Amino acid sequence: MSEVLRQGVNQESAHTEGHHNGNGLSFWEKWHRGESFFSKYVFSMDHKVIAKQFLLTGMFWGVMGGLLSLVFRLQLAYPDTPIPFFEVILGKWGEGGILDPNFYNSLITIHGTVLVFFVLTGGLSGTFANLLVPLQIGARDMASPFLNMLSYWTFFLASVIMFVSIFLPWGPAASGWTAYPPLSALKELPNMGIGMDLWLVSIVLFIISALFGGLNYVTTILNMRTKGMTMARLPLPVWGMFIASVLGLLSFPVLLAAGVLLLADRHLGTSFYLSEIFFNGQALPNYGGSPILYQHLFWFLGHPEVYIIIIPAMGLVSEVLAVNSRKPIFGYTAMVISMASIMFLSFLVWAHHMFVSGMNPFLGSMFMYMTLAIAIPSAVKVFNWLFTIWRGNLRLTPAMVFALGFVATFIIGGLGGIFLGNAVNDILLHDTYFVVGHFHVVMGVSALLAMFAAIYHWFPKMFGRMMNRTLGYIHFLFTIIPALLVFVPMHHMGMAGVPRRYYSFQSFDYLAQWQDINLFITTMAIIGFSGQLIFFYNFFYSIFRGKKPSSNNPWKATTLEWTTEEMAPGHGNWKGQVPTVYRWAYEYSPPYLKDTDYVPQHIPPEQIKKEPVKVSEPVE
Amino acid sequence: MTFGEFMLLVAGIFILAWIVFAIGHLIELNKDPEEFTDSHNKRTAWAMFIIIYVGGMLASAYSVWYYLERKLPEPAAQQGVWIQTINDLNVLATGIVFVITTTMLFLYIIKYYGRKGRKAQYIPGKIKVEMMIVAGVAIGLMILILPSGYYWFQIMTPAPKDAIKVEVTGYQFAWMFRYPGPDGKFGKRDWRLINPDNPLGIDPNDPAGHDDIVTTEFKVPVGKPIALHIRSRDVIHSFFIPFFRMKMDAVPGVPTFMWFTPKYTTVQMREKTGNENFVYEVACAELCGSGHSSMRTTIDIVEPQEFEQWLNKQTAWYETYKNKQVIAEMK
Repeated sequence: MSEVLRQGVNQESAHTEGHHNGNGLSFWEKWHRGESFFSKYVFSMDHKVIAKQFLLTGMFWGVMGGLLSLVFRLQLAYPDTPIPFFEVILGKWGEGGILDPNFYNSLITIHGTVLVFFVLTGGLSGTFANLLVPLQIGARDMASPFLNMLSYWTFFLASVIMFVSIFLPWGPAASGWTAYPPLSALKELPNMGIGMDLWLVSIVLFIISALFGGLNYVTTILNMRTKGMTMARLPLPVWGMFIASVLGLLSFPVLLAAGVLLLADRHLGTSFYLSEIFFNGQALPNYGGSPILYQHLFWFLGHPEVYIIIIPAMGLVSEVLAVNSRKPIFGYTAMVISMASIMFLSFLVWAHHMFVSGMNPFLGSMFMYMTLAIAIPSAVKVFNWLFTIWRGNLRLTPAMVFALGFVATFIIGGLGGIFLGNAVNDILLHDTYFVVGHFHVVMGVSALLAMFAAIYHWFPKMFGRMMNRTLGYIHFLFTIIPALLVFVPMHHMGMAGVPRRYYSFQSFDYLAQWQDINLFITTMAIIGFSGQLIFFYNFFYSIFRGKKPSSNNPWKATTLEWTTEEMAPGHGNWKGQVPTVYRWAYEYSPPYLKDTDYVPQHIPPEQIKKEPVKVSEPVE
Repeated sequence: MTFGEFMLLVAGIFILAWIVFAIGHLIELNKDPEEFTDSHNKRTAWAMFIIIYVGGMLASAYSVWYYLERKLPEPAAQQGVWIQTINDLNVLATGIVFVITTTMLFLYIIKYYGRKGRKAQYIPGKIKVEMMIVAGVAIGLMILILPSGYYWFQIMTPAPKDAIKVEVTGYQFAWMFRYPGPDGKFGKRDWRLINPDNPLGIDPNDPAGHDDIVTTEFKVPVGKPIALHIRSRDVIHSFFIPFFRMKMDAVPGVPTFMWFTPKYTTVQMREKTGNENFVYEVACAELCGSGHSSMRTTIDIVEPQEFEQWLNKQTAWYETYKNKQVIAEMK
């Protein structure tokens, strides 16, 4: 089948370049040929355009989520000082400069939800799975371009609904991103009415989008690899996307079920999660449900979700590290096996979020052992990255610097996980700032650093221009330093028993001493956020004014996406034949080469023996 | 720092950042973004080493020192001592791994930054190394986790038979306590019976509940096992006693349990911490709504005889309830 596609689309793809006699066509004819503005840039079925759409939406939500966090950080820094501009930006939620506690809860809820789902799932794997899967495996496009388009527009609809919910007078959802019932099920509570419903609808739509996307990635990777591209030759980003997509396909539906049941509890009078509740001066009729059921369903996705975020990030970082170390990735097979075992184990660890929920202690101990078992494949990955740069020839591009930053923060975050996965230690640390610090370092900061690494690395592929290098380094410093100064102290706060999701620390004597560190963290958060403005400037400036790379392959990488100059919207990706693959993706600095230090995947072996490949040799 | 000063500071940093930014932007304009000279790589590598690694290690050391000044006092319950021990063990083990791996990472950066004429060594990986990593990490983790597996069951076993039973009920946004009274049995509860006179919904027809004591004060004797029966009336709360390092969720419809043996009375703890206002504070650790951060109660740990005296002074819940019912009927 892939053979037919590879040959068949060849002819068709010519139209992307030529626009042959496209002027006389009617709107719908242009639409069908993918030549009108709308079908090219808006309702596009081209994976490269969809990748950019995901990226821009993800960046929008990144800014939005960051701004929300600054508002609640200011509240934590100045809990007793009225801050007049709260009233200006928040209206009735900030009356007299005092932030409404319910709105504080809404802020943390929306911040968490959009960053986990919209930025780090949609923005990160949506972007790079779309961009890299067809290009790195040598496919003309996704298996189903239409489903791919649908995936983005469902995501967009979810975004719009979430965005609208923030501005409604009834307030956005205030149940935390985990939305534990009964808090999220009692619609009479402040900010739990229409806002919570919209939140649930948005999440349901997002899940549908993720399923569309995941189905497509898996199908494409399994069926549409070019000739010679065996699974064992796939670049690691593709492996990462593949494993994360399988994980998502198996776990997202469970959250969908949890969300639908929660909606039923809210509106249809069912009692899946509700039992024996006395609320608002009256006893609710619900009996026999269990809030713990929701927690099981939620974390059955919720925990794999963090791996859905981090596994593609690991894949991307592995690629960036190998390319810029000019050295094969250390232990390619071990990398794939460790990703696969993380995927497998991630289905068996969800209840480590529930050690103190009153679950059977025997279950708790099992989940503790399974959770700590995940440390083994994670450690394999970390050491493999370390051994990849060992004895390398590190070209410290901005992307490489971000990738090294990823390894550093992943070590910190991973080690924090050892504390939380330990059931005994979790009795102290559960729902404290330690948890906040831990997951922000490991799936916030390090996933973001991986995303930045990928953006800096594949920017020439996406937009045909280079980003400003010095600004990239400044951006790196303004990201990793404030991020660590924000989240590392939180680990200490957690060990000192500071509970999370607190509107202020003023009701407790033992929390008062942490007020000054709160101010410090807020200052760092503002600096870190302002550092991102440098990135946004660099990003948008470079799209239009950045320097053009000297060749198709500015980083001298081996993978297939650098063999084509085709970047205009439209299926096809390669003008002529799709290149055939002769070796794995990491043939850097093999001893038999003299003039150059890498062999691209598509160069036939006989060409190497005659003369080493030249750096900027035009392809085919 | 007042809010005004704070905003000035932030604005100052912001302006500084933009000056750096403008300089950075100009520097790059005349450079080839694909050329990475030896000196460029060297500068970048050493900048990373000094700023991120050396600076980060110094900051971490400062952060630890800062924490030690503010950490919780010695755990005031035997179970808390175990939990703290595990925590400290984890700090030690992960601290060592953190220093080793991070040092490796940054040493490699300054050692192997890119230079012309150097060639990376072609090492696609060694199965032996991978097996060693797996075995090493697995053995290390097993050693680390063995005591936890033991203590987990020590902490989570059912409370001893002679434990003093107290029922804790969370509701938005406070805690209520119930002692079983002389018969040692709690009366049955039904949430449909809750009303202002009967905030816990105790069944008035159950004789076991007639001597139950309902109070907002939580007093327990030192040195005896205390068994908490934790319940919630509306949403999920979590009964978190930081000075014991313990917490357990309060879930509507699902009773949960926790037990501990207090080691020091409140008075002893005041002497130990040197804080004459010290009280055992209890916090809510599960988001429960707008009052989550002020859902505070305290535990008063006293000598056993003082506890007996206090308990004997309390009136049973049923007495007040009955009287109120009689008055209501008369009306």
